[in-house]
Amino acid sequence: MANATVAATDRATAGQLSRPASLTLALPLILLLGLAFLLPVAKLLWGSVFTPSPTAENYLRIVQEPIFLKILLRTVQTAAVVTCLAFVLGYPVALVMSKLGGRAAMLVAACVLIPLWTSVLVRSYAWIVLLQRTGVVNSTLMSWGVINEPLKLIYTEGAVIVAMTHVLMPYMILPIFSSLRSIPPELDRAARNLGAGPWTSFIAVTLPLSLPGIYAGSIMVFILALGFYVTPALVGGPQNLTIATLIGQQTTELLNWPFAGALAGVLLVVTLGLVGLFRRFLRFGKGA
Amino acid sequence: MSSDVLQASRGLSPPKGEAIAIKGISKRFGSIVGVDNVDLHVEAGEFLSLLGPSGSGKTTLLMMLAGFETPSSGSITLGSRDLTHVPPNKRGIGMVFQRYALFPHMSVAQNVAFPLKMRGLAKAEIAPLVEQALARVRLQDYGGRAPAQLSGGQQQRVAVARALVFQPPVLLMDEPLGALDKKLREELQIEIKTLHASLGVTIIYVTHDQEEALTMSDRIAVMDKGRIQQLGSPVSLYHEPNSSFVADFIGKMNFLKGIVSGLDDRSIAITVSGQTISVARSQLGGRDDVAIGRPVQIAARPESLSPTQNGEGAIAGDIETTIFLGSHRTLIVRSDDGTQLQVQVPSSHRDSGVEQRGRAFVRLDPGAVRVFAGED
Ligand SMILES: Nc1ncnc2c1ncn2[C@@H]1O[C@H](COP(=O)(O)OP(=O)(O)OP(=O)(O)O)[C@@H](O)[C@H]1O
Ligand SMILES: [Mg+2]
Repeated sequence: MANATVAATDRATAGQLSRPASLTLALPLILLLGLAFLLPVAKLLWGSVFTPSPTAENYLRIVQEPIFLKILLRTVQTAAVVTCLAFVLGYPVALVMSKLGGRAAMLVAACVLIPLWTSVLVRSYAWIVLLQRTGVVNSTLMSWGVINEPLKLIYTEGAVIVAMTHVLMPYMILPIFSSLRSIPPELDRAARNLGAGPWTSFIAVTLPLSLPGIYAGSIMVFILALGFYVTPALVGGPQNLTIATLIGQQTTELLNWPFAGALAGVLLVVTLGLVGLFRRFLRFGKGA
Repeated sequence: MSSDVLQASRGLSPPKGEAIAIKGISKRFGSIVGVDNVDLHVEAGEFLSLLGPSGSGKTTLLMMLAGFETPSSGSITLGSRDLTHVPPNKRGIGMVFQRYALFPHMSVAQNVAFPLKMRGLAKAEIAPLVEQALARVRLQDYGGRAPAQLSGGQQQRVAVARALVFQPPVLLMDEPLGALDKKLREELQIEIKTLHASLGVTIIYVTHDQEEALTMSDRIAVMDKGRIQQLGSPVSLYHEPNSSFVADFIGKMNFLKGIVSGLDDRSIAITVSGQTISVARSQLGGRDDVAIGRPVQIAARPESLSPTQNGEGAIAGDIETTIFLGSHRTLIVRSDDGTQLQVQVPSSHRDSGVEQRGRAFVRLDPGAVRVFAGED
């Protein structure tokens, strides 16, 4: 008893709360998550197996009808491409941000953050304005005489990838930025001093030390992209179904909740599986 | 250079250091002047310290030598090579940073191997050199460790090994021991000195610790406000400072106000605290700007003041406190005209532990003081 008190004061002095106290503080959130998120998800998954008698029918359908596996594969592929693009485009931005100081850094940070504070819906509609038949891109190209007829830009897989990359970019940039910021600047100087050119120093020192940020950003973008609904639904159109839009279709249009539950279950398993794989791969890379 | 002869007679290789010539170098950051028209010639194999208060431009000067800052004007030459516009990775100068700057994702051995890898050496050539470099700083068994698994002192030794493994002609060190505690610092000072003597590399060493500069350097450049205020051996800086700034910055110093009361072409008579002392003109530091009736500053080291029994020809005051420092004691005396004086007295085992209090008379050794005139 006395020991427990001592431990509790120790934690308290270290700026930490005792376990019951922190649990109490977290309780509202736990309740909210449990009631508004976990419960419905569990119910949906339960409903995919028990209708009400136990059946594997919904899952078998996913495996048996090739269209569903195709959509699943395309979703994973799109998410992977979006993650890679967000990394390739986002890393330089994060790098520049981490090197800048003062007003310039704030300006770039604002450019990254303002989209994040704007609704995904608004940003997706913006892409429609840009890409539609009579949109900004087509009319500009036509007025320059580059093309004679409007290109089909909207409702393509390319449009989905471009728009999703744009929407998810901040989730890549911010973790990379924060890990780049935590690298002491004299490490790059040390590398330069020891004979490394700017590029070699980047490859040998900066890049490996920013891996935690790359990992966090990639995981975040990848997971968000796997389950992304709004942007593919608006920019992709009915021909470019992803798992999320397919689930949306099943619940809102076809009212086939058990099948939607099965799809959601598969998406969940695939997401967890891929994240686990990615994690192992990265840890292996780090250990080597 | 008697040390060269010594090394040659012991069969050691001659110094491999190279000279550095800095000519009229300045660095401005907007309206701030970091380094202001500095000229400095560092001899091959010399240990030169840049000493000065915070913001005096030491790091900026070092950064220009390493190539991380471009001088606003002036030039840098290494041996016969003009370095002014050479990028840092092509300069071949070693550098040790204050906060170690070891690569945390590489082992100790990989850190030390890094500069060799950059120079395209084969794996088989690298391994023995790394081993040798680590042995030099007594860390031969630590190659496989991560930097985070080493103490601060060990990390800094790895940094030294890494900076020396590619045999640079010049080693730059920016307050390399600043993050370590006093005992470790003194240990590493000796280690760095020993390395310097055995390798013959030219070292430019930044510190704001005057004691460190005095113990380690062949010469010291005292910097203030971006300029070199005085350049010289530790002994000459200690005994012949040419400004009250240098006098104050190096060692302990008492400053007394005096008035010139007599002059001839060899000596000056100065009245201080009611006493008149006579000093040689050669004891004037800085400007030779004396005239009868003008105020001057007299700078006297605590060891050139001594307590005396009678008040004849001595400065009278009260002892405020006594500080015991092992080999000697320092009496803090407040003279009757209000100046605080530090007086150094040799201590012996016969001293009573009781603090001395009360009246004291302090005699000034006129031959050991410096006189500064017309500084304000
Ligand atoms: N990048 C910079 N931008 C603007 N001013 C700078 C920059 N670097 C240095 N300065 C200024 O130049 C002057 C010299 O700085 P420097 O860092 O060389 O001093 P220092 O002698 O190394 O001091 P310390 O002992 O604190 O390390 C200071 O006034 C500093 O504010
Ligand atoms: Mg500095």
